[in-house]
Amino acid sequence: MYKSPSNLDVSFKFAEQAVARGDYEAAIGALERMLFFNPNLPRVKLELGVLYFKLDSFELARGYLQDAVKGSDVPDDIRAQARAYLAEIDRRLSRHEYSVFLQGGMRYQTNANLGPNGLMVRALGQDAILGQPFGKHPDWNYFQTVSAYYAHKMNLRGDAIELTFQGLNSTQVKQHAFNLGLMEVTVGQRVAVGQNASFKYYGIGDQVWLGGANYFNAIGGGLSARTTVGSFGIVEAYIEDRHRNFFDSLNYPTASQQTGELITAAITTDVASGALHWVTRVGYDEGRAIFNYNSYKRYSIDVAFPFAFELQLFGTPHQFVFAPTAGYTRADYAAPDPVLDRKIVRHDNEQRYGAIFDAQIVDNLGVRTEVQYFRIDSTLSNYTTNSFSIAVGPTVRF
Amino acid sequence: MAEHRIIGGTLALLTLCGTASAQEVGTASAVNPAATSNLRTITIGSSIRHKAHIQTATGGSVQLLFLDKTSMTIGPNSDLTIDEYVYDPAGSTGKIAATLGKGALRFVGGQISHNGDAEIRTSNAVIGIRGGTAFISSEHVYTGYGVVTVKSGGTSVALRTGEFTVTGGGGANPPTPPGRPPAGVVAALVHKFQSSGKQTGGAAPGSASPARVATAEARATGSPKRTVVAAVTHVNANGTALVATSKRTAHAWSSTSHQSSIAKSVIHSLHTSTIHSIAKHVMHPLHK
Repeated sequence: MYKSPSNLDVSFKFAEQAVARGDYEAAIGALERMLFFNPNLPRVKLELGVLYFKLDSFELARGYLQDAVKGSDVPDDIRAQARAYLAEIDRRLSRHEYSVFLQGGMRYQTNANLGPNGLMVRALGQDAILGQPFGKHPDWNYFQTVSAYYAHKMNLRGDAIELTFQGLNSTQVKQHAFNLGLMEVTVGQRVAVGQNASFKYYGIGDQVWLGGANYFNAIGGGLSARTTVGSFGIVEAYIEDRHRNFFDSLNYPTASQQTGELITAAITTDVASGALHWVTRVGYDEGRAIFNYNSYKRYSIDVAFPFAFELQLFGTPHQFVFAPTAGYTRADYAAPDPVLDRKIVRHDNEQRYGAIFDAQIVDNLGVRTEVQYFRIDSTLSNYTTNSFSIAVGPTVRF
Repeated sequence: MAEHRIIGGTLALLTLCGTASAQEVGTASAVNPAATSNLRTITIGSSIRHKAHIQTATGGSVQLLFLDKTSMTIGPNSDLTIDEYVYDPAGSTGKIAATLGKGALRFVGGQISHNGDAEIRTSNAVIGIRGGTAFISSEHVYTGYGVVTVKSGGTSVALRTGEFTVTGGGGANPPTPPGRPPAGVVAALVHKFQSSGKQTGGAAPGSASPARVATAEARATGSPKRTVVAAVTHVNANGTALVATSKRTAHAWSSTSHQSSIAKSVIHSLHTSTIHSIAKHVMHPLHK
């Protein structure tokens, strides 16, 4: 390249190798040289815009992308790509950034009431037979979920005030005691650390309803740290502490015994390499309830492999994402529950397998189908159970 | 003895003044306007030596490619001296220092700046570059990527990606606080360092036509549709970018995962509540 700087083959080979090893600056230098040789190369301007976009240099990316689409003879595919990036840059440079995901639908569960696999269980230290009404029962429910994110950006460095909201409402067709309402709000400040990392401190508020009654509320706080891993993805770690206040109700007369602290620590990753993309969560929960036998330590791992692809349907391209999922949880309780058995401490092993299929219908409207099977093996037969569920419904994201 | 190199033509003058050192530090990888005549004119591929003094006139510009892969583009009506250049390829370390007497330059960092020892002096400030890219003139500094420190008037500010500062007062005034560049500045910078009109950067006319560039890129990547940046972006089968869609999908995944985590916590306690209340109020002990 030093001997023959105008050799295009050598420059492109150099740029490609530089991108492959994550040295975007070297690639930028090589592509800039192309514009020295010919300033009318929209494809090269698009590529420079993409590289600066990947470096989070959005103003500069916008400069190249706007330049790329200026001419009247710009190929349609380059114009379409540049416009997609320009729209995303406008969103990211705005002081206000938000995104919302909504889903409604119906879910069928083979064990909607979390009944044990068998009717032979433990009670007061003896074997006991459950009444049939308390065994496993299938049911349908209608559900609505919402996830929302808003950031007020304080500067270009990534400092921002962030607000998140998670909501879930499900109404059972028969098992009304399992009607569930859940809301969680977090508010906090994200502080940028260098170019590719940040931490956030935040407050948490929860409210949960069960069977039409107040089940618990919680207040707490968290600290998270996030960093990019080269060009591969993001790793985030967080620790949260909530004080949960449970309330007794007609259906759940002993719920208040679970009142206490819930400490959660987890590491999540969202990483892609080539066509392979995986999302993981490794977590630890420690529940410190006022009644010792409701205190526990829970270790869990979940993994998903989202695979995105595009298909032409009725002459137009549609986006699809298929993601197999799997998870495992081990829960160790602190003491035997005297109501069940004074000598047996509860230890649960839970396995989860499932898949999620997202299909784009038009623009930001789609349909999500989710199937999941879980089984819990416990030292107490009361908690040994399994269930299969399938949920389907429309989605909106913006 | 001073060594003079002149870029010919009526619009640009470029001179190169050497010192006793004959150490080659890089190459002129693109030059506008192309050398046509005169004494020691810089042409594309000319070696750049230690202590080089480079001047461009109206319409003139040059891209220097240093041994550590630092790329420095000197805009029209500029004056730059390479004060110091040391590079150890084995350790990827070294030092680069230059003085921009007037005009503007674009700095795209190579190995040396990754290790934090790149410095550009202007009449108003001293600019330190750690990785990344920077656009520098006597009047302002803009950080394309990375971290750039700007010192003047006894004050130092650190610019991060996308930040801009104004300098002045012959080094007596402190730089303005880092902020967004004024409207139109970035677009102007993008244009300032490109060729204009029929300039070809020293390459043979027509040798970098869109068709030839596309062919060269296809040969480099091994595919007619693949670009060198394909590795850093999501591209559909029809070649369109997935940028917006992938962001929304990622958010949906993230939020769903978080929601699922909360729901699991609730269901876990629900399981306990259900079984416990059943045991306490409904079970029938089996008498053995």
